[in-house]
Amino acid sequence: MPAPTAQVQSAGETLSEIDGANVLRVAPNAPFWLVHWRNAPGSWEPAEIDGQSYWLPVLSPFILTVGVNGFRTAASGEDPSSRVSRSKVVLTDRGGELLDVSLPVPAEFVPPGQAVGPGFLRSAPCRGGKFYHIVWDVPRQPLAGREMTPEHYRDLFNRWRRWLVEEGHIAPPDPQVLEDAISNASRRVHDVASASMTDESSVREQRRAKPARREALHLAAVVPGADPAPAPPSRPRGKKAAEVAA
Amino acid sequence: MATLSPPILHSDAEGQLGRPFDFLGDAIALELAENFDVTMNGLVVMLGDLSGSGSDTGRLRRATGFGWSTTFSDMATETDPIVATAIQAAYDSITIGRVGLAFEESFTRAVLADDPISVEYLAQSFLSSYLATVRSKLAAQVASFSTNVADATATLDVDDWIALRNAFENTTGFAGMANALLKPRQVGYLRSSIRAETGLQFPEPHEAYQRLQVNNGLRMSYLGIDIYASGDITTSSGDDFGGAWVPGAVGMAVGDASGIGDISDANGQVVPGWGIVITRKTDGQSATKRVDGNALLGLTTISPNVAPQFLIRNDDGV
Repeated sequence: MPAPTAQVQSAGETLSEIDGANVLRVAPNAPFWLVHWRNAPGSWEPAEIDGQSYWLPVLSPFILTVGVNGFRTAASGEDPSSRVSRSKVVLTDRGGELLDVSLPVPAEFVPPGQAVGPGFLRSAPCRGGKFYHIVWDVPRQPLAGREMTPEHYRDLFNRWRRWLVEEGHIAPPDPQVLEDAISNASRRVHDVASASMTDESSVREQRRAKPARREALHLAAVVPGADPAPAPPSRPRGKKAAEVAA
Repeated sequence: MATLSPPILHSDAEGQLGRPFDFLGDAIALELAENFDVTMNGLVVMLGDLSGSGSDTGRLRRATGFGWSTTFSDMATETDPIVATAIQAAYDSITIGRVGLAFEESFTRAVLADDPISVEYLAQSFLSSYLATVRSKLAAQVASFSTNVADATATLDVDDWIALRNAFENTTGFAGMANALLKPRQVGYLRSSIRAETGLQFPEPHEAYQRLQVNNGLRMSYLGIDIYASGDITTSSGDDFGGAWVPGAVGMAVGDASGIGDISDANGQVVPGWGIVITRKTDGQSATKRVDGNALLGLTTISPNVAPQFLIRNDDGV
């Protein structure tokens, strides 16, 4: 039986800590870094902020669980930081750019209700341990029988990613990566048009709308902090360009 | 002594003559859990054993610059000397670490229990938990694939799958076989997208795979890529981090426990090949008994220059 509230509070605890009301009904996970795979295809993506499309760095979780990505078990008494030393080598060898976990997240990018503090990584108590998440993925209790889906503050996350580039925490992209992304977006417009040859024209237009919007977002994107009127990125050439235009 | 006045009611008699509940049969149903073994079907291949090596890190050597990767040079004259060609070499690393799982019960519980879930019973489940651990670590490894081929702003669709197939085929030397491991909802989004394609039929083996092998994680095959699904796949920043790779791109190593020596004092067992050591401890002072499982394992990705691998990062659609 739970202890009476008065006793709980006098012990410096809250009732929710006793009855588990604030414990997430999910399994614990491992902490992670955020990594930008510099110059890898797909490592930059366009996103709209205040009506302007920007190239933003794609950030992937680099999960620190024993035996993966060079993360090792420390010897007794060994400096815990030695556990990640090989992970950093693995990451660098593969062209990864590690974001410092203590990198500040300015208050303007922190979702409402989340504590402003150092770093982008947060943890919440869950069944049997901690659930680690970035500050923009606010965990919530899962629906019965469903997987927990955090509430993601995409706009704030995008603004923070733009800030990372503007402040020099992530170097601007290689133009080839952007050209590759634009080429892929354009090809998708073409692919949908080809696949829909037998559709009614209204259906065809409807099916083209989404990839066309994506292509427009790619073509309009600028690199954060760069010249506001950059040279236009290279377009598909020859036959492909004609198909896209059609 | 309770007085049960006529008519004698169940609600009055339950406390003295009845019981508040009874178990219906002796069976204990197990709650659903993903029983998908990724060490099958080439999703993870065994690279080796570091026991007795003196290190927790192994290396896999790779080389190029000869054989199919180079050609004979044209010689200008009959007597021009041939300049010897350099070759290139590198290596990938794999680090193993310790993982553990234990169960413990009191003597009182062991004596009074009328169910079969003793620590010995739980010890029999260690291998399943070990394989679940490998699957979880595989999902963590997949999230760190560097090259994404999917549209991260939308849910997985046929266009992504065509882009994936293209990415494999545009990789020099791709042998034509690949597996994918996705979040289950990614598979659902792909299936929905397939339905929406004009004139495109569901992949022929789809239905059969669904029925025959769903417990094995395999959901369907599409464009020649076998698609598996696991709830362990990472979700972060509103995106699911699935992946696809050729067999051999992700491997594991263990520290096989066969060299551990005499553990008979702990009534120990070794699971050969996986590096699992099971030991038991009985403590009369605290009136408890426990069973511990230890293992040494690690996973790694092999260089994409040897085994192509692609991230399939999509919006989670939530």
